[in-house]
Amino acid sequence: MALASLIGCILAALLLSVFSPRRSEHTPVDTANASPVIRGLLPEEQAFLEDARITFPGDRWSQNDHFHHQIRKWVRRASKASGLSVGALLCAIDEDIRNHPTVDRQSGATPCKPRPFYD
Amino acid sequence: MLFIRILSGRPLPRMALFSALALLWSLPILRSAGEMNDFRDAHVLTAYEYAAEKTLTSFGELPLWNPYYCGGMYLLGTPQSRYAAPPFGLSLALGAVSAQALIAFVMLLIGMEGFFRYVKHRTASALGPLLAAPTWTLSGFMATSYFRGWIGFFGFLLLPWILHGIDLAARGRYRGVLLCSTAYAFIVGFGGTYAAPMAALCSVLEIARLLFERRRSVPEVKRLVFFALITGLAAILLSSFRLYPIVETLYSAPRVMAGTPKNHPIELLQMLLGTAEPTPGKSRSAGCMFFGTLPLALAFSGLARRKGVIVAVLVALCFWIATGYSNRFGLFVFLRELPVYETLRYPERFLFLAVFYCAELAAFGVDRCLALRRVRRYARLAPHAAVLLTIIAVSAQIRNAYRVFDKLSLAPMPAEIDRDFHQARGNRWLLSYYAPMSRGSLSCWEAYPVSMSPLLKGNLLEEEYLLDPGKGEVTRRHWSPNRIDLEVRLHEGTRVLINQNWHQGWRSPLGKVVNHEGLLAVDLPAGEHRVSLRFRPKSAWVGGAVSLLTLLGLVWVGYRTSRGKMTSWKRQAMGIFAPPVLCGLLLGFSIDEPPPAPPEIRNADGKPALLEALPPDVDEIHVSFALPVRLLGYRISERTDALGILDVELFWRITGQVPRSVGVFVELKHQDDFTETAIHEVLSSSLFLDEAPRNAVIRDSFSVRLPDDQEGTFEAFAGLVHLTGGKARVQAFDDQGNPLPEDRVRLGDVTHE
Repeated sequence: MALASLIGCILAALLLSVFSPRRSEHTPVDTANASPVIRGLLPEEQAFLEDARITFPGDRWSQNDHFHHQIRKWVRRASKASGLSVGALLCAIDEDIRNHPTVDRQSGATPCKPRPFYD
Repeated sequence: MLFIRILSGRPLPRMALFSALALLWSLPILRSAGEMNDFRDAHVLTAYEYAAEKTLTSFGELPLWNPYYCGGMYLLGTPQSRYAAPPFGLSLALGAVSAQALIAFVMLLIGMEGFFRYVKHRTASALGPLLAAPTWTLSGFMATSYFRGWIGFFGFLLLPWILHGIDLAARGRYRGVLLCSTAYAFIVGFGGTYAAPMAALCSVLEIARLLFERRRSVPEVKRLVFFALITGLAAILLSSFRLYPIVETLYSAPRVMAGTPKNHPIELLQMLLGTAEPTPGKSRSAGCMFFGTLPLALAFSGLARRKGVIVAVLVALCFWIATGYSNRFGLFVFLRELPVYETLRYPERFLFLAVFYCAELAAFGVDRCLALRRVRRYARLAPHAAVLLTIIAVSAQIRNAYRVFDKLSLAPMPAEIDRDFHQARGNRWLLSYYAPMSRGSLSCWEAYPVSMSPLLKGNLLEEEYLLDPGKGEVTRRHWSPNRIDLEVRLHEGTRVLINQNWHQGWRSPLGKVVNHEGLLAVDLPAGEHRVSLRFRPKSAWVGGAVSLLTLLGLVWVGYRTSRGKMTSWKRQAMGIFAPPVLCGLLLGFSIDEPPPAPPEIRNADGKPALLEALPPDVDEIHVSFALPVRLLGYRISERTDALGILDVELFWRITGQVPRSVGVFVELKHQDDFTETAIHEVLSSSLFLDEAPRNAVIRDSFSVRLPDDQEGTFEAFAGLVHLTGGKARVQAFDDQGNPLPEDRVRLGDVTHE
């Protein structure tokens, strides 16, 4: 009985994991719908950069991280408003940056330098 | 009560009870296993697990290199990756995201059984450990950890197995050595960035406790010391498969942890006794370690036992450490002076150890109830009351966990797109989306300064290109995380650049692999070449071999001692350690690999921190202090920029020992007496003054933003200040040795409009 209970609990946990309802994003193969939406991001990026410079003066990595935090908020809002998945929007942003390499979109690397204190 | 006794006496009924409790606790998260935790930390930590899973399942390679983050990083050397441990099997079977809840369930089960076995040896009956085990394991810290995606923190639940192993070894039971070292290696492989050092601390405390208990018997003390040493060494060698890569990684990118985190005792009590009230995607400190008052009541009754007093001391010690820098005599202050512990920053995590020992005290309390029952008529129902209290307490803990899980921020699983890999600008706050769509994120956050090339680009159409494009062409033939095959046609020798970070573990049988300003590159002569770059780091092979041989040695010696052979301690030690140490040395010297890149010390603005000499355009001054520190010069803008930001550079030379508590202040005094002060304790965002290289010129570069409503002229000053105690300034002197007024040096005037 004890063995049955033990096996039962483990099986229950396994089955719940395996058969829990899966929420997946639709494969964003068609970023055509997302492209018009993400065009609204480029003009906002300058404001994000300025806000980052004000919030973290002199700290390049923190500015870059704050910039991306703003982008995350924008993408979430845009996803809710447009009904498009977050993945589709991120995919479209990536394609837009790659197809327009001369436009400055902060696409270089800012070497990771976490702040030495958080209190 | 008979039923409870049966449960506590036999392993299977006990495990059935523990598994039922673990299932009850995990129900909400098991039901949502098909969704992704959208919390910021969860994105990064899950992405590591996903990268390891994808490398093995999609590419059939060992997960050593992770191209999907920070421009490429050594996955085995990333302290927070957790795939080098048994739960990775579940990630492979179910997927990195879906396996997390099941991993939590399994670890809870392991934790409860471990706690039972550890405490059982110290209690008169098995009932106490049986009741106390869930109160520790199901306390609020695990729910908080799951909420934040810190699955590696479930490694804390291996702590009782480590301590149980030490107890067994102290009694001359050889399997204790194997148990302790295996559990420790599990924690290290599972991303135990906090669990590993904290378990090590508990191990030291356990050994101290055992020494105290055996202090009257010299042979027992000798045996304990011997087994403690071989257990400690075995744990380190068995963990080499991860420790070597991690040490190598952090050598090139040391973590600097400043600040003086502190927790008032009332705050700590709120963490232990308050219930969690998170908001969607945001957890609070109150209730984050929820233990509850009922187990505390049981713990108090455990104080009546003499052994309980020692455990109470351990509770107090851990609580004291958890207060952090609340006062200058805090144990955490002392702990931060030690290597490895100097990088820890959340002292409240030591509360989980306090809860552990409290639960042990609660087990003693149950013992007390059983003892009272035998001698006092009024205490006949005491054990029943203890059982009831525990049921109520554990119910409260499970309800607390449900409150936390109810506010999990969940998102749909990202879509997978199978296509050519490219680095992308990315976004570390949404990192989990990138690897599935065959993209790497250059937006990078980690708890240490990951070595990244400034030449990485997130907008390339081709990830491999020539330094001089006019000299030929390069085409990618094959790409996988640990292998890049290229076809290169050159009419003149040149360098092929790969849009990933360099690491000394990258090799090519053709040409010369070089570090091109942090970028992976290969120098090739003219001609047609088929280049095959492979990631085969020495630390993985050497560390892996040492761990494997240590495990085999432990098993073999255990087998021999169980047969009554190999009774000599020296022969046992030789049997365990000689093969891995010799093999490690042999492999270490025979595998040819460039040394890891030395740490690059830079300011937050990217400028190098260490200079050979003062730059010629810097305003030179000669200010000395009542400490072995000199201010050699400075550079300061005459006016703030359009955003009100002022850039300042101070140039220092440290010539001797400086207390850790000293920092730099810059004061900007407005003509109308308003003063803006900025203080920092870490020079160049990288160096404590007491650790700064002696006699080098240190550029300390930082910026200050002045308020919009305070326009006009500011006088700028700088100096040194003590950051603790009375926060007094350090005496400053001019080049004639005269004291400077207000112990500060005037840098000049700044206009702010």
